[in-house]
Amino acid sequence: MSVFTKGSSERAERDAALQAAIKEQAAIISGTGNVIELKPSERAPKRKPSFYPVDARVRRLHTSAKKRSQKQRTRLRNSIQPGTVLIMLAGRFRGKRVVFLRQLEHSGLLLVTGPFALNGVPLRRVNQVYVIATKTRVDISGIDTSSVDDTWFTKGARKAREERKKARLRGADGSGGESTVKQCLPEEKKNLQKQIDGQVMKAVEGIPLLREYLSSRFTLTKGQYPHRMTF
Amino acid sequence: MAFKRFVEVGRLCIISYGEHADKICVIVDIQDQGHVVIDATADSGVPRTVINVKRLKLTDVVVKLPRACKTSVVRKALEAQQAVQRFRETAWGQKVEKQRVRARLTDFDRFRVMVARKRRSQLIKHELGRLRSETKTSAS
Repeated sequence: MSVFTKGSSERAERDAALQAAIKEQAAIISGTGNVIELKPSERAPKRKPSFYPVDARVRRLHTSAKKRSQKQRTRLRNSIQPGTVLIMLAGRFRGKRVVFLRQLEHSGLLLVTGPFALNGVPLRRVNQVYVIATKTRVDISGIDTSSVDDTWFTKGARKAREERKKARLRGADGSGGESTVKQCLPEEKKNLQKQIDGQVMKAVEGIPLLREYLSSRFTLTKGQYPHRMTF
Repeated sequence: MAFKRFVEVGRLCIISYGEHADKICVIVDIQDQGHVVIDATADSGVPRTVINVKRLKLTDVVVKLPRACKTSVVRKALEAQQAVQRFRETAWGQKVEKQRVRARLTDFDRFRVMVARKRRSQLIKHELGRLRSETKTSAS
């Protein structure tokens, strides 16, 4: 019972607000600024909802990474530790061997790097289900990656995408000609990539053949069954 | 062709099927035409059980054992007669060992093996070419 009474009181409140808004509008239109009292016939009729909500609407809760409890955070596979060499399985970098740097707080994705100079994989986010963790590890202790977080990847990306789209459309008309906005990475991102990669490379050079290993692509050959192999 | 490997007491075998596949055991007693009692060393983890002969691969190694002897006696005999070691020295035993090592290689290890193999074949090719050219010049 209480639900209905509450519902009706809310509706009454909403109607009152609507009436007030109409009055205000009328005052502006008439230019007087005075509030004109409307006759009951001029008021907007009370509308009955054409349907009732079946279920309470599901609202997604946006919690910050800090507020999230340990349980809600993405659990990292035990086989993935900082410095672990991973094999990427999906996307344009599939088959590439990359170095895992750390797990990103907010999204729970893995922050990896090629290093870029070796195999062309930049600082990148990957879901851990799309990688194979190997037993090979590079010592990356002391490498500071704290300046890279989830926003580092998304910030400015949307704007750049829209600008490129506009340029493309201009080009299609023939009026704008060649697109002037080139797809390029901001200088500071390039520098950070270089800085982190440089440190990773130092660790990589310490182990013979590891450089060549990271540069090569992973493939399966005849008689190799990934579920039976150790990585 | 005469048969050389028989289902007999003291025959060292490899289990080919089930939980203890690829483990070494020894025949202790024969139950009927199809079944035998096996036992093994402590570290293998194979318990003393009856097993179908179809699930055994017979090796060349035979240990001197009294029929249906106790586990402790079996283990002592295997130890004293170096049965497992004797098997490891055979070509089959070495192949098994090699397969075991290869199966445990990590991805990076496999890469290093690949590089080493390439290097070896390169050296062989180089040397072979040198020898060929030598024989040609000496013949002419």
